[in-house]
Amino acid sequence: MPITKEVLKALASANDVNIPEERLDVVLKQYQDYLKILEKLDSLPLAQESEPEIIYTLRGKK
Amino acid sequence: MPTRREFLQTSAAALAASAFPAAAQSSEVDLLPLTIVEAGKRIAAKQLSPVELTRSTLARIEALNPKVGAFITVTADQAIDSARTAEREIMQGKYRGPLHGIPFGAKDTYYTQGIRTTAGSNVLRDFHPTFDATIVRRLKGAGAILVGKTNLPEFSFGGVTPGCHNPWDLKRNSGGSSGGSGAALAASMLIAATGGDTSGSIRNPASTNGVVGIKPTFGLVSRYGVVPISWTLDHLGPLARTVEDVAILLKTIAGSDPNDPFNAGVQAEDYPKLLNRNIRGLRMGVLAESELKNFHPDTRRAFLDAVTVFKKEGAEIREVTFSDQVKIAETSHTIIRICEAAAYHRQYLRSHENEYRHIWDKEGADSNTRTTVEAGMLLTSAQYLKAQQARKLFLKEMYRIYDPIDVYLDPTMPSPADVPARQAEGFRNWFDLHGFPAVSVPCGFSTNPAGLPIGLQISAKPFQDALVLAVAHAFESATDWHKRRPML
Repeated sequence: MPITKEVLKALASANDVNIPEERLDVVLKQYQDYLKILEKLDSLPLAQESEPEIIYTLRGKK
Repeated sequence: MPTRREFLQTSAAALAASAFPAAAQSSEVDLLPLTIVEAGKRIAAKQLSPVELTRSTLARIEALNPKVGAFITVTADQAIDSARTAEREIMQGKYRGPLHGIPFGAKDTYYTQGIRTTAGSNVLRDFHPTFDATIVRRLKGAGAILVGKTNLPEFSFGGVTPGCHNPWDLKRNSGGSSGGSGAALAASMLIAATGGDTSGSIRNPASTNGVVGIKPTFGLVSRYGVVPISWTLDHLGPLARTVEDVAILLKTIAGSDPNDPFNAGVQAEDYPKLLNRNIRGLRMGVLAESELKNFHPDTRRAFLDAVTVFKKEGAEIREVTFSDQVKIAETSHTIIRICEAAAYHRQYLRSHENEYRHIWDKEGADSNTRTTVEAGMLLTSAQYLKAQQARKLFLKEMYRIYDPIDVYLDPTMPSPADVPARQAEGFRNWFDLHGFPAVSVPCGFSTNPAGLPIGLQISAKPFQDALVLAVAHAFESATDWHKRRPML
Protein backbone atom coordinates (compact mmCIF):
# COMPACT_ATOMS: atom_id res chain seq x y z
CA MET A 1 0.00 0.00 0.00
CA PRO A 2 1.48 3.40 -0.93
CA ILE A 3 2.03 5.58 2.10
CA THR A 4 0.20 8.83 1.50
CA LYS A 5 -0.47 11.71 3.84
CA GLU A 6 -3.88 10.22 4.56
CA VAL A 7 -2.34 6.87 5.49
CA LEU A 8 0.20 8.64 7.67
CA LYS A 9 -2.57 10.53 9.44
CA ALA A 10 -4.41 7.29 10.11
CA LEU A 11 -1.22 5.65 11.38
CA ALA A 12 -0.51 8.59 13.66
CA SER A 13 -4.04 8.53 14.98
CA ALA A 14 -3.84 4.79 15.69
CA ASN A 15 -0.60 5.38 17.59
CA ASP A 16 -2.02 8.34 19.50
CA VAL A 17 0.48 10.71 17.90
CA ASN A 18 -0.65 14.20 17.00
CA ILE A 19 1.08 15.36 13.80
CA PRO A 20 -0.20 18.77 12.72
CA GLU A 21 -1.30 19.16 9.09
CA GLU A 22 1.62 21.47 8.26
CA ARG A 23 4.14 18.84 9.41
CA LEU A 24 2.73 15.89 7.49
CA ASP A 25 4.98 16.31 4.43
CA VAL A 26 8.24 16.35 6.35
CA VAL A 27 7.27 13.49 8.64
CA LEU A 28 6.00 11.46 5.66
CA LYS A 29 9.35 11.79 3.90
CA GLN A 30 11.18 10.68 7.06
CA TYR A 31 8.83 7.73 7.54
CA GLN A 32 9.28 6.64 3.92
CA ASP A 33 13.05 6.71 4.43
CA TYR A 34 12.64 4.30 7.34
CA LEU A 35 10.48 1.99 5.25
CA LYS A 36 13.15 1.89 2.52
CA ILE A 37 15.69 0.74 5.13
CA LEU A 38 13.30 -1.94 6.33
CA GLU A 39 12.87 -3.15 2.75
CA LYS A 40 16.64 -3.56 2.54
CA LEU A 41 16.71 -5.47 5.82
CA ASP A 42 14.09 -7.83 4.40
CA SER A 43 16.66 -8.89 1.79
CA LEU A 44 18.99 -10.29 4.47
CA PRO A 45 19.17 -14.07 4.92
CA LEU A 46 17.86 -14.04 8.47
CA ALA A 47 17.01 -17.53 9.66
CA GLN A 48 13.48 -17.96 10.94
CA GLU A 49 14.86 -19.25 14.24
CA SER A 50 17.34 -16.36 14.63
CA GLU A 51 16.34 -14.50 17.77
CA PRO A 52 16.89 -10.77 18.08
CA GLU A 53 19.27 -9.40 20.69
CA ILE A 54 16.68 -7.63 22.79
CA ILE A 55 18.94 -7.29 25.80
CA TYR A 56 22.08 -6.17 24.07
CA THR A 57 25.24 -6.71 26.03
CA LEU A 58 28.75 -7.89 25.37
CA ARG A 59 28.92 -9.46 28.80
CA GLY A 60 31.12 -12.53 28.93
CA LYS A 61 32.70 -11.97 25.53
CA LYS A 62 35.99 -10.67 26.86
CA MET B 1 27.42 32.68 31.98
CA PRO B 2 28.76 35.13 34.60
CA THR B 3 29.51 38.75 33.75
CA ARG B 4 33.16 39.77 33.69
CA ARG B 5 32.71 41.76 36.90
CA GLU B 6 31.14 38.77 38.70
CA PHE B 7 33.86 36.53 37.35
CA LEU B 8 36.69 38.77 38.52
CA GLN B 9 35.11 39.07 41.95
CA THR B 10 34.96 35.30 42.42
CA SER B 11 38.47 34.87 41.06
CA ALA B 12 39.96 37.53 43.33
CA ALA B 13 38.21 36.09 46.35
CA ALA B 14 39.42 32.62 45.46
CA LEU B 15 42.99 33.79 45.06
CA ALA B 16 42.93 35.58 48.38
CA ALA B 17 41.75 32.39 50.04
CA SER B 18 44.32 30.17 48.35
CA ALA B 19 46.49 27.97 50.54
CA PHE B 20 49.07 27.05 47.90
CA PRO B 21 52.55 28.58 47.84
CA ALA B 22 52.62 32.03 46.27
CA ALA B 23 54.67 30.81 43.32
CA ALA B 24 51.78 28.57 42.33
CA GLN B 25 49.36 31.50 42.14
CA SER B 26 51.47 34.27 40.72
CA SER B 27 50.35 34.33 37.11
CA GLU B 28 47.72 33.15 34.69
CA VAL B 29 48.30 29.54 33.70
CA ASP B 30 49.27 28.98 30.06
CA LEU B 31 46.59 26.52 29.03
CA LEU B 32 47.75 26.10 25.43
CA PRO B 33 50.35 23.37 25.95
CA LEU B 34 48.81 21.96 29.12
CA THR B 35 47.65 18.34 29.44
CA ILE B 36 46.04 16.48 32.33
CA VAL B 37 49.32 14.65 32.92
CA GLU B 38 51.34 17.86 33.04
CA ALA B 39 48.84 19.78 35.18
CA GLY B 40 48.42 16.80 37.49
CA LYS B 41 52.16 16.53 38.08
CA ARG B 42 52.42 20.23 38.86
CA ILE B 43 49.42 20.14 41.19
CA ALA B 44 50.79 17.08 43.02
CA ALA B 45 54.11 18.91 43.46
CA LYS B 46 52.21 22.00 44.72
CA GLN B 47 53.67 24.04 41.85
CA LEU B 48 50.23 24.74 40.40
CA SER B 49 47.21 25.73 42.40
CA PRO B 50 43.88 24.10 41.43
CA VAL B 51 42.29 27.48 42.15
CA GLU B 52 44.61 29.23 39.74
CA LEU B 53 44.17 26.54 37.09
CA THR B 54 40.38 26.76 37.43
CA ARG B 55 40.48 30.55 37.37
CA SER B 56 42.58 30.52 34.20
CA THR B 57 40.26 27.98 32.61
CA LEU B 58 37.21 30.11 33.44
CA ALA B 59 38.95 33.21 32.10
CA ARG B 60 39.71 31.50 28.81
CA ILE B 61 36.14 30.20 28.57
CA GLU B 62 34.85 33.69 29.22
CA ALA B 63 37.13 35.17 26.56
CA LEU B 64 36.52 32.57 23.84
CA ASN B 65 33.04 31.16 24.36
CA PRO B 66 31.34 34.07 22.54
CA LYS B 67 33.45 33.14 19.47
CA VAL B 68 33.40 29.35 19.78
CA GLY B 69 30.04 28.58 21.40
CA ALA B 70 31.32 25.48 23.18
CA PHE B 71 29.46 25.93 26.47
CA ILE B 72 25.75 26.15 27.21
CA THR B 73 26.30 26.66 30.94
CA VAL B 74 29.40 27.75 32.88
CA THR B 75 29.51 26.82 36.57
CA ALA B 76 32.05 29.41 37.70
CA ASP B 77 31.06 29.79 41.35
CA GLN B 78 30.73 26.08 42.04
CA ALA B 79 34.01 25.45 40.21
CA ILE B 80 35.93 27.95 42.32
CA ASP B 81 34.44 26.45 45.48
CA SER B 82 35.45 22.94 44.37
CA ALA B 83 38.93 24.15 43.45
CA ARG B 84 39.37 25.64 46.90
CA THR B 85 38.34 22.33 48.44
CA ALA B 86 40.79 20.45 46.21
CA GLU B 87 43.56 22.81 47.13
CA ARG B 88 42.86 22.48 50.84
CA GLU B 89 42.84 18.68 50.59
CA ILE B 90 46.13 18.61 48.72
CA MET B 91 47.74 20.92 51.26
CA GLN B 92 46.54 18.53 53.97
CA GLY B 93 48.23 15.63 52.18
CA LYS B 94 44.98 14.15 50.86
CA TYR B 95 45.99 13.99 47.21
CA ARG B 96 43.52 11.81 45.31
CA GLY B 97 45.38 11.23 42.04
CA PRO B 98 45.99 12.68 38.59
CA LEU B 99 42.55 14.28 38.23
CA HIS B 100 42.63 16.07 41.57
CA GLY B 101 42.16 19.76 40.86
CA ILE B 102 41.70 19.25 37.10
CA PRO B 103 38.83 21.24 35.51
CA PHE B 104 36.52 19.33 33.17
CA GLY B 105 33.46 19.98 31.03
CA ALA B 106 30.49 17.61 30.77
CA LYS B 107 28.33 17.31 27.69
CA ASP B 108 24.98 18.84 28.56
CA THR B 109 23.26 15.46 28.44
CA TYR B 110 25.05 14.46 31.66
CA TYR B 111 22.93 14.96 34.77
CA THR B 112 24.57 17.41 37.16
CA GLN B 113 22.95 17.85 40.54
CA GLY B 114 21.30 21.25 40.84
CA ILE B 115 22.85 22.45 37.58
CA ARG B 116 20.67 22.94 34.52
CA THR B 117 20.92 20.05 32.07
CA THR B 118 19.28 20.87 28.75
CA ALA B 119 20.52 18.15 26.36
CA GLY B 120 20.69 21.11 23.98
CA SER B 121 16.89 21.30 23.83
CA ASN B 122 14.43 23.99 24.70
CA VAL B 123 12.22 21.15 26.01
CA LEU B 124 14.61 20.73 28.96
CA ARG B 125 15.43 24.42 29.41
CA ASP B 126 14.44 24.31 33.11
CA PHE B 127 15.60 20.79 33.98
CA HIS B 128 17.79 20.68 37.10
CA PRO B 129 18.63 17.05 37.97
CA THR B 130 18.63 15.96 41.59
CA PHE B 131 21.68 13.74 41.18
CA ASP B 132 24.90 13.46 39.20
CA ALA B 133 25.41 10.99 36.35
CA THR B 134 27.64 8.10 37.42
CA ILE B 135 30.46 9.47 35.26
CA VAL B 136 30.20 12.94 36.78
CA ARG B 137 30.11 11.43 40.27
CA ARG B 138 33.23 9.39 39.55
CA LEU B 139 35.13 12.34 38.10
CA LYS B 140 34.20 14.51 41.07
CA GLY B 141 35.19 11.65 43.36
CA ALA B 142 38.63 11.70 41.75
CA GLY B 143 38.86 15.40 42.60
CA ALA B 144 38.07 16.80 39.14
CA ILE B 145 36.28 20.13 38.97
CA LEU B 146 33.20 20.71 36.82
CA VAL B 147 33.50 24.07 35.04
CA GLY B 148 30.57 23.81 32.66
CA LYS B 149 28.19 21.96 30.37
CA THR B 150 29.13 21.71 26.73
CA ASN B 151 27.05 22.37 23.65
CA LEU B 152 25.44 19.72 21.42
CA PRO B 153 22.68 19.36 18.82
CA GLU B 154 19.17 19.08 20.24
CA PHE B 155 19.01 15.82 22.24
CA SER B 156 22.30 14.78 20.53
CA PHE B 157 20.55 14.26 17.18
CA GLY B 158 23.06 14.91 14.41
CA GLY B 159 26.67 15.56 13.60
CA VAL B 160 26.48 19.36 13.55
CA THR B 161 26.37 21.37 16.79
CA PRO B 162 24.36 24.59 16.39
CA GLY B 163 26.29 27.73 17.25
CA CYS B 164 29.51 25.82 17.92
CA HIS B 165 32.39 26.96 15.76
CA ASN B 166 35.44 24.97 14.87
CA PRO B 167 38.53 26.53 16.51
CA TRP B 168 40.61 25.64 13.43
CA ASP B 169 38.32 27.71 11.22
CA LEU B 170 35.55 29.58 12.97
CA LYS B 171 33.47 29.63 9.79
CA ARG B 172 33.12 25.86 10.07
CA ASN B 173 31.22 23.69 12.52
CA SER B 174 32.78 21.68 15.33
CA GLY B 175 30.96 18.48 14.38
CA GLY B 176 28.85 16.56 16.79
CA SER B 177 27.13 15.58 18.67
CA SER B 178 29.76 16.16 21.38
CA GLY B 179 30.82 19.23 19.40
CA GLY B 180 31.09 21.57 22.38
CA SER B 181 33.48 19.20 24.14
CA GLY B 182 35.65 18.81 21.03
CA ALA B 183 35.76 22.54 20.32
CA ALA B 184 36.51 23.46 23.94
CA LEU B 185 39.49 21.08 24.00
CA ALA B 186 40.84 22.34 20.68
CA ALA B 187 40.49 25.94 21.85
CA SER B 188 42.29 25.13 25.13
CA MET B 189 39.18 26.10 27.09
CA LEU B 190 39.37 22.65 28.67
CA ILE B 191 41.89 19.87 29.17
CA ALA B 192 39.28 17.21 29.98
CA ALA B 193 35.78 16.60 28.69
CA THR B 194 33.06 13.98 28.32
CA GLY B 195 30.90 13.00 25.38
CA GLY B 196 28.36 10.51 24.12
CA ASP B 197 28.48 8.31 21.01
CA THR B 198 25.44 6.70 19.39
CA SER B 199 26.39 7.26 15.74
CA GLY B 200 29.96 8.48 16.10
CA SER B 201 29.36 11.48 18.33
CA ILE B 202 32.59 11.23 20.34
CA ARG B 203 34.80 10.27 17.41
CA ASN B 204 33.36 12.80 14.95
CA PRO B 205 34.18 15.89 17.06
CA ALA B 206 37.49 14.35 18.16
CA SER B 207 38.50 14.07 14.51
CA THR B 208 36.93 17.35 13.42
CA ASN B 209 38.62 19.36 16.17
CA GLY B 210 41.98 17.57 16.22
CA VAL B 211 41.70 15.97 19.67
CA VAL B 212 41.46 12.44 21.05
CA GLY B 213 38.21 10.67 21.96
CA ILE B 214 37.34 7.07 22.78
CA LYS B 215 34.04 5.27 22.45
CA PRO B 216 34.63 2.50 24.96
CA THR B 217 33.23 -1.03 24.62
CA PHE B 218 29.47 -1.08 25.12
CA GLY B 219 28.86 -1.90 28.76
CA LEU B 220 32.26 -0.78 30.05
CA VAL B 221 31.19 2.74 31.07
CA SER B 222 27.94 3.44 32.89
CA ARG B 223 25.24 5.35 31.00
CA TYR B 224 23.29 6.08 34.18
CA GLY B 225 22.10 9.65 34.55
CA VAL B 226 22.59 10.75 30.96
CA VAL B 227 19.80 11.87 28.61
CA PRO B 228 19.69 9.03 26.05
CA ILE B 229 19.14 8.75 22.35
CA SER B 230 18.98 4.98 22.15
CA TRP B 231 19.42 2.61 25.08
CA THR B 232 21.16 -0.20 23.18
CA LEU B 233 23.39 2.05 21.05
CA ASP B 234 24.47 4.84 23.42
CA HIS B 235 28.09 4.84 24.58
CA LEU B 236 29.70 7.41 26.87
CA GLY B 237 33.35 8.27 27.03
CA PRO B 238 36.06 10.86 27.45
CA LEU B 239 37.74 13.36 25.14
CA ALA B 240 41.07 15.07 25.80
CA ARG B 241 44.11 16.33 23.92
CA THR B 242 46.34 13.27 24.27
CA VAL B 243 45.84 9.51 24.45
CA GLU B 244 47.39 9.34 27.91
CA ASP B 245 44.91 11.94 29.18
CA VAL B 246 42.02 9.95 27.72
CA ALA B 247 43.41 6.81 29.37
CA ILE B 248 43.45 8.55 32.77
CA LEU B 249 39.85 9.67 32.33
CA LEU B 250 38.69 6.23 31.15
CA LYS B 251 40.32 4.52 34.11
CA THR B 252 38.32 6.80 36.39
CA ILE B 253 34.91 6.48 34.75
CA ALA B 254 34.89 2.81 33.62
CA GLY B 255 33.68 -0.11 35.69
CA SER B 256 30.57 -1.79 36.95
CA ASP B 257 27.44 0.13 37.89
CA PRO B 258 24.26 -1.63 39.03
CA ASN B 259 22.25 1.41 37.97
CA ASP B 260 22.98 0.74 34.28
CA PRO B 261 21.12 -2.39 33.08
CA PHE B 262 23.51 -2.82 30.14
CA ASN B 263 26.65 -2.47 32.21
CA ALA B 264 28.86 -5.50 31.63
CA GLY B 265 30.18 -5.63 35.16
CA VAL B 266 33.76 -5.44 33.89
CA GLN B 267 36.25 -3.59 36.07
CA ALA B 268 38.36 -0.74 34.68
CA GLU B 269 41.92 -1.62 33.78
CA ASP B 270 44.94 0.56 34.48
CA TYR B 271 44.81 2.06 30.98
CA PRO B 272 47.63 4.62 31.49
CA LYS B 273 50.02 1.88 32.65
CA LEU B 274 49.11 -0.30 29.66
CA LEU B 275 49.91 2.37 27.05
CA ASN B 276 53.53 1.50 26.40
CA ARG B 277 53.05 -1.66 24.42
CA ASN B 278 55.33 -2.72 21.59
CA ILE B 279 53.21 -2.89 18.45
CA ARG B 280 55.78 -4.88 16.42
CA GLY B 281 54.05 -7.89 14.92
CA LEU B 282 50.57 -6.64 15.77
CA ARG B 283 48.06 -7.73 13.11
CA MET B 284 46.39 -4.60 11.79
CA GLY B 285 43.39 -4.76 9.52
CA VAL B 286 43.12 -1.60 7.43
CA LEU B 287 40.27 -0.43 5.27
CA ALA B 288 41.16 -1.53 1.74
CA GLU B 289 42.29 1.16 -0.71
CA SER B 290 39.39 0.22 -2.99
CA GLU B 291 37.01 1.31 -0.21
CA LEU B 292 38.76 4.67 0.18
CA LYS B 293 37.90 6.11 -3.22
CA ASN B 294 34.95 8.13 -1.94
CA PHE B 295 36.86 9.70 0.94
CA HIS B 296 38.24 13.23 0.61
CA PRO B 297 41.74 13.10 -0.97
CA ASP B 298 43.37 14.70 2.08
CA THR B 299 41.69 12.19 4.38
CA ARG B 300 42.79 9.33 2.14
CA ARG B 301 46.38 10.60 2.08
CA ALA B 302 46.54 11.14 5.84
CA PHE B 303 45.13 7.67 6.45
CA LEU B 304 47.59 5.96 4.11
CA ASP B 305 50.44 7.93 5.72
CA ALA B 306 49.25 6.69 9.13
CA VAL B 307 49.30 3.10 7.89
CA THR B 308 52.89 3.68 6.72
CA VAL B 309 53.80 4.84 10.23
CA PHE B 310 52.54 1.55 11.64
CA LYS B 311 54.36 -0.43 8.96
CA LYS B 312 57.60 1.27 9.98
CA GLU B 313 56.88 0.39 13.61
CA GLY B 314 56.73 -3.26 12.60
CA ALA B 315 52.97 -3.89 12.46
CA GLU B 316 51.66 -6.49 10.05
CA ILE B 317 49.16 -4.83 7.71
CA ARG B 318 46.20 -6.66 6.12
CA GLU B 319 43.53 -5.09 3.94
CA VAL B 320 39.93 -5.55 5.02
CA THR B 321 36.82 -5.35 2.86
CA PHE B 322 33.18 -5.68 3.86
CA SER B 323 30.45 -7.62 2.09
CA ASP B 324 27.27 -6.03 0.78
CA GLN B 325 25.42 -8.07 3.38
CA VAL B 326 27.30 -6.31 6.17
CA LYS B 327 26.54 -2.94 4.61
CA ILE B 328 22.82 -3.76 4.49
CA ALA B 329 22.75 -5.14 8.02
CA GLU B 330 24.40 -1.92 9.21
CA THR B 331 21.28 0.04 8.27
CA SER B 332 19.51 -1.64 11.18
CA HIS B 333 21.26 1.02 13.27
CA THR B 334 18.86 3.67 11.95
CA ILE B 335 15.74 1.67 12.83
CA ILE B 336 16.97 0.63 16.29
CA ARG B 337 18.10 4.15 17.09
CA ILE B 338 14.88 5.85 16.10
CA CYS B 339 12.52 3.27 17.63
CA GLU B 340 14.29 3.53 20.99
CA ALA B 341 14.45 7.32 20.71
CA ALA B 342 10.74 7.47 19.89
CA ALA B 343 9.93 5.44 23.01
CA TYR B 344 11.97 7.88 25.13
CA HIS B 345 10.40 10.95 23.50
CA ARG B 346 6.80 9.72 23.54
CA GLN B 347 5.97 11.67 26.67
CA TYR B 348 7.70 14.89 25.52
CA LEU B 349 5.95 14.70 22.13
CA ARG B 350 2.63 14.78 23.97
CA SER B 351 3.44 17.48 26.48
CA HIS B 352 6.06 19.68 24.77
CA GLU B 353 5.68 19.05 21.05
CA ASN B 354 5.84 22.74 20.15
CA GLU B 355 8.88 23.37 22.30
CA TYR B 356 11.30 21.20 20.32
CA ARG B 357 14.23 23.30 19.07
CA HIS B 358 17.88 23.82 20.01
CA ILE B 359 18.27 25.67 23.28
CA TRP B 360 19.73 28.69 21.45
CA ASP B 361 17.17 28.76 18.62
CA LYS B 362 14.30 31.21 18.53
CA GLU B 363 10.65 30.14 18.76
CA GLY B 364 9.45 28.68 15.49
CA ALA B 365 12.81 27.22 14.51
CA ASP B 366 12.69 23.86 12.77
CA SER B 367 13.48 20.76 14.82
CA ASN B 368 14.96 17.76 13.04
CA THR B 369 14.75 15.88 16.32
CA ARG B 370 10.98 16.29 16.45
CA THR B 371 10.57 15.16 12.85
CA THR B 372 12.64 12.03 13.25
CA VAL B 373 11.01 10.93 16.50
CA GLU B 374 7.51 11.66 15.19
CA ALA B 375 8.19 9.40 12.21
CA GLY B 376 9.85 6.86 14.51
CA MET B 377 6.68 6.69 16.62
CA LEU B 378 4.92 5.15 13.62
CA LEU B 379 7.23 2.15 13.28
CA THR B 380 6.04 -1.12 14.77
CA SER B 381 7.56 -3.38 17.38
CA ALA B 382 7.91 -6.10 14.71
CA GLN B 383 9.98 -3.71 12.56
CA TYR B 384 12.15 -2.83 15.54
CA LEU B 385 12.79 -6.48 16.32
CA LYS B 386 13.55 -7.19 12.68
CA ALA B 387 16.31 -4.61 12.96
CA GLN B 388 17.62 -6.25 16.13
CA GLN B 389 17.71 -9.58 14.27
CA ALA B 390 19.76 -7.94 11.52
CA ARG B 391 22.05 -6.53 14.17
CA LYS B 392 22.77 -10.04 15.39
CA LEU B 393 23.84 -11.05 11.89
CA PHE B 394 26.01 -7.90 11.68
CA LEU B 395 27.64 -8.69 15.01
CA LYS B 396 28.40 -12.25 13.94
CA GLU B 397 30.09 -10.95 10.79
CA MET B 398 32.11 -8.44 12.81
CA TYR B 399 33.45 -11.18 15.10
CA ARG B 400 34.46 -13.11 11.98
CA ILE B 401 36.21 -10.08 10.46
CA TYR B 402 38.00 -9.11 13.68
CA ASP B 403 39.01 -12.70 14.52
CA PRO B 404 42.28 -12.79 12.51
CA ILE B 405 43.34 -9.22 13.40
CA ASP B 406 44.28 -7.44 16.60
CA VAL B 407 43.10 -3.96 15.61
CA TYR B 408 41.25 -2.40 12.69
CA LEU B 409 42.11 1.03 11.25
CA ASP B 410 40.10 3.41 9.10
CA PRO B 411 39.66 7.18 8.78
CA THR B 412 37.37 8.51 11.51
CA MET B 413 35.55 10.86 9.13
CA PRO B 414 35.13 10.83 5.35
CA SER B 415 36.41 14.42 5.12
CA PRO B 416 37.55 17.37 7.25
CA ALA B 417 35.03 19.72 8.90
CA ASP B 418 32.13 20.76 6.65
CA VAL B 419 33.92 19.53 3.52
CA PRO B 420 31.68 17.41 1.25
CA ALA B 421 32.73 13.85 0.42
CA ARG B 422 31.10 11.14 -1.64
CA GLN B 423 31.59 8.65 1.17
CA ALA B 424 28.54 8.48 3.43
CA GLU B 425 29.26 8.98 7.11
CA GLY B 426 27.27 5.91 8.07
CA PHE B 427 30.32 3.70 8.59
CA ARG B 428 30.94 5.28 12.00
CA ASN B 429 27.56 3.84 13.10
CA TRP B 430 29.02 0.37 12.74
CA PHE B 431 31.04 0.74 15.90
CA ASP B 432 27.96 1.67 17.93
CA LEU B 433 26.01 -1.21 16.42
CA HIS B 434 28.62 -3.85 17.35
CA GLY B 435 29.80 -2.04 20.46
CA PHE B 436 33.53 -2.66 20.00
CA PRO B 437 35.94 0.01 21.37
CA ALA B 438 37.11 2.71 18.95
CA VAL B 439 39.39 5.70 19.50
CA SER B 440 40.02 8.67 17.22
CA VAL B 441 43.47 10.25 17.26
CA PRO B 442 44.79 13.16 15.11
CA CYS B 443 46.64 11.89 12.03
CA GLY B 444 47.12 14.93 9.83
CA PHE B 445 45.76 18.17 8.42
CA SER B 446 44.04 19.01 5.17
CA THR B 447 45.67 20.99 2.38
CA ASN B 448 42.55 21.90 0.38
CA PRO B 449 40.99 23.56 2.28
CA ALA B 450 44.11 24.05 4.35
CA GLY B 451 44.63 23.47 8.04
CA LEU B 452 41.71 21.29 9.13
CA PRO B 453 42.39 18.28 11.38
CA ILE B 454 41.96 14.69 10.21
CA GLY B 455 41.42 11.73 12.53
CA LEU B 456 42.48 8.09 12.48
CA GLN B 457 40.12 5.54 14.00
CA ILE B 458 41.51 2.47 15.78
CA SER B 459 39.20 -0.28 16.97
CA ALA B 460 39.50 -3.80 18.37
CA LYS B 461 37.47 -6.63 19.82
CA PRO B 462 35.20 -6.06 22.84
CA PHE B 463 36.97 -5.01 26.04
CA GLN B 464 40.26 -4.48 24.23
CA ASP B 465 40.03 -0.80 25.17
CA ALA B 466 43.56 -0.89 26.59
CA LEU B 467 44.85 -2.21 23.26
CA VAL B 468 43.23 0.51 21.12
CA LEU B 469 44.63 3.13 23.48
CA ALA B 470 48.11 1.55 23.35
CA VAL B 471 48.07 1.53 19.54
CA ALA B 472 46.83 5.14 19.50
CA HIS B 473 49.60 6.04 21.95
CA ALA B 474 52.20 4.36 19.74
CA PHE B 475 50.96 6.42 16.79
CA GLU B 476 50.95 9.61 18.84
CA SER B 477 54.50 8.90 20.01
CA ALA B 478 55.67 8.51 16.41
CA THR B 479 53.97 11.70 15.17
CA ASP B 480 53.30 15.22 16.41
CA TRP B 481 49.86 16.00 14.97
CA HIS B 482 48.36 16.15 18.47
CA LYS B 483 50.73 18.94 19.51
CA ARG B 484 49.32 21.52 17.10
CA ARG B 485 46.95 24.16 18.42
CA PRO B 486 44.66 26.50 16.50
CA MET B 487 45.36 30.24 16.53
CA LEU B 488 42.47 32.05 18.18
